[in-house]
Amino acid sequence: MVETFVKISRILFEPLAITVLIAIVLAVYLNWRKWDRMFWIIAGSIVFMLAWRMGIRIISSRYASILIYPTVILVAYLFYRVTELFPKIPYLRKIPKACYPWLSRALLVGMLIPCVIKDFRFNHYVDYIPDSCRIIKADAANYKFPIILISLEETRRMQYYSGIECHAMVVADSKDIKKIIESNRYLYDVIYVVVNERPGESIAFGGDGEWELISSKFKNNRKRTKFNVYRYVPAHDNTLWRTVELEQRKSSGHLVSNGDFEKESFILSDDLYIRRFQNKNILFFQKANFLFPDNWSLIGAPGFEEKCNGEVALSGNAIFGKYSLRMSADTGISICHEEIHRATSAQLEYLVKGTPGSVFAVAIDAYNQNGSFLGFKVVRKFRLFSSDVYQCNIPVVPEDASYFDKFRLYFILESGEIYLDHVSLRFGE
Amino acid sequence: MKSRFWIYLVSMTSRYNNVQFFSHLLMLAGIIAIAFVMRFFSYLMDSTVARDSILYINMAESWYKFEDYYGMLTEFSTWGGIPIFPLWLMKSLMGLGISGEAAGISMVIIMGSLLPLVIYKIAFLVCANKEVALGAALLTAVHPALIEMSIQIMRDTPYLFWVGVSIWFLLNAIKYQKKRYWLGGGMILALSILTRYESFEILLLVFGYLLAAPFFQWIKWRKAIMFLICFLSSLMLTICLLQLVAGISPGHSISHSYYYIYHAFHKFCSIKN
Repeated sequence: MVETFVKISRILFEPLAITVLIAIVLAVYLNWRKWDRMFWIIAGSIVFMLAWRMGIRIISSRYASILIYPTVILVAYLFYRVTELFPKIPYLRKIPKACYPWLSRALLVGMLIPCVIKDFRFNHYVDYIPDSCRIIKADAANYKFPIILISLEETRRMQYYSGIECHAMVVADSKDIKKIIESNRYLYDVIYVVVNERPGESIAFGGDGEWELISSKFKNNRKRTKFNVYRYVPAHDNTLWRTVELEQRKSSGHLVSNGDFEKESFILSDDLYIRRFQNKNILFFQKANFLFPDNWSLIGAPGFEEKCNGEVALSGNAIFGKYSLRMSADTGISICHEEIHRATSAQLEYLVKGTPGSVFAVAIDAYNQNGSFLGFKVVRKFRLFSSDVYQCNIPVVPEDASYFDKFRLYFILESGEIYLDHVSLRFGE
Repeated sequence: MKSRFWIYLVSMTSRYNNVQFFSHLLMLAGIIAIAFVMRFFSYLMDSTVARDSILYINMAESWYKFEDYYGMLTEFSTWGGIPIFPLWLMKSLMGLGISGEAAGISMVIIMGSLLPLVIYKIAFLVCANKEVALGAALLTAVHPALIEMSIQIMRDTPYLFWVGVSIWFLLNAIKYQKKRYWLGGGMILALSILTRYESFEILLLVFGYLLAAPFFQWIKWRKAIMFLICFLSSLMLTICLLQLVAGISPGHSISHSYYYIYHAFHKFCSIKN
């Protein structure tokens, strides 16, 4: 109730909220014994409006804004009717009656002063978001796939002013930021990280790539918090993810079964693989008769919603050898490797190429020692920035760093077109 | 009939000759002008769109783009419970060739500047004193919270405007016992309900009055029932008509009304344990 009372006094404006209490006492005193129908109706309505708000917990003071109506009327009533008490008060009795209207007006002006002072107390740093967004927008013009990472409450506003995709991030310290950046670094060619910091504070990002503070603005007149924008340009050619010249590449000796996609089966329309898609209006699976890799499966693979326009088949446009696995879709599709690997860690390596902008991910079904399913976990997401062939070499560790004893490998395509080849797993590393 | 018209005309002429009447009219116009200037200046000083305003702007722009409420809902499926009237007003203003932000800010600044007039009318009706009414209007013109709400594209200012006008109609209806005020009150309260859920409290107050008034013998039961029918029919008719004009099916309108009642008690306020 106290909390609600504070919220109500805030929306009424504190000087008015205090004055209205005096006004209520005066109104009751002046109308004593001449209470009529209108008095009861108005008083009852105000009590009702106040009572239900006091009885519950209002989230915002704005939900009590209707109480401004009776407040301003009662305060004005007080200023113009308080003079009726003057003849009854010893010292005030001496004031000439001709002065009463001017006294009322003076009281009104007295109340207007704090209102106007409050009205003109502007935040000189109020444009910190549009200004920061202008800087980000100009900077992002040099990149193809920019993103802004910011706290949840400002996501919409940053996106509105910058026109750039914004993701919410929940951070407690710089370690969290590093983790969030790591999970996004292969998806975007530039990442803008926006954080509130005290003056003098700045996050140091230890990873590779460029890390630079590009904008720093105070949020309000108190100058206690700064709205800092950092730009991170990931180094895309590194040990985990690099473009390769096929001639220079050595074949891995740890291919998963049919990891080079050379063993194929011909899929017919009554095949188990495509039976689940036939009622989903996915054109590719309706016509059937395509080449599908052995040891890989679509059974239980997530995605494949209606209108996904998904296609999964072996393609002669191979990265290496005779075939590569081609996946293309407008929305999420996936494929899994049939084998369940008994290992708590592994190093995954594969070759990939495709349409620039395509987004795909590596994921696993995690199981414990007894074979109980622990969950579907994303290992890492990637975006293809060019049509080159990339070699990816990543540890199979879920993004949420959860524990597992066995796993099954998945490739998910979120959108675009990719070709996969030479999928290998090295265990115990 | 002819003589009544002449009496009215003569009385109006005599009122216009009245210096006091003119000075009050001028003062009221001045207060509205002050309210507008204060709000416009505040907007110039703080024109950054508020956090929640982005949602309303995006929704209005989407509605305008699709030219269909249900098209807009495909992009904002989780926000289907937001009352339509302010969004529809913004979308309609966008038809003049202005952006969603410009439409929203014009709507709130204009309605916010007219709040002193609404307060003036209510205060005059309640206190029967022009100076008190002008004082209340002046306080409204410079009230910090009202100014803050009038420069943010939210539903607060349109809600305060519509609920204020409906209160004025309903107070007139109670005072003068005329059907036309009950009809007007129902109509404007419908606009208020289609702006924000809290307006349902006025509906409860009206029910309370129409139940209590015959009980205390302020009016007869027959009259109370007649007023209730006038009020509810204009309220329901306005809600249905406005939603039909906005391109929302009557079925959706009913589910919307249910949604408003539900959210009035559950979404915006959590009852203390």
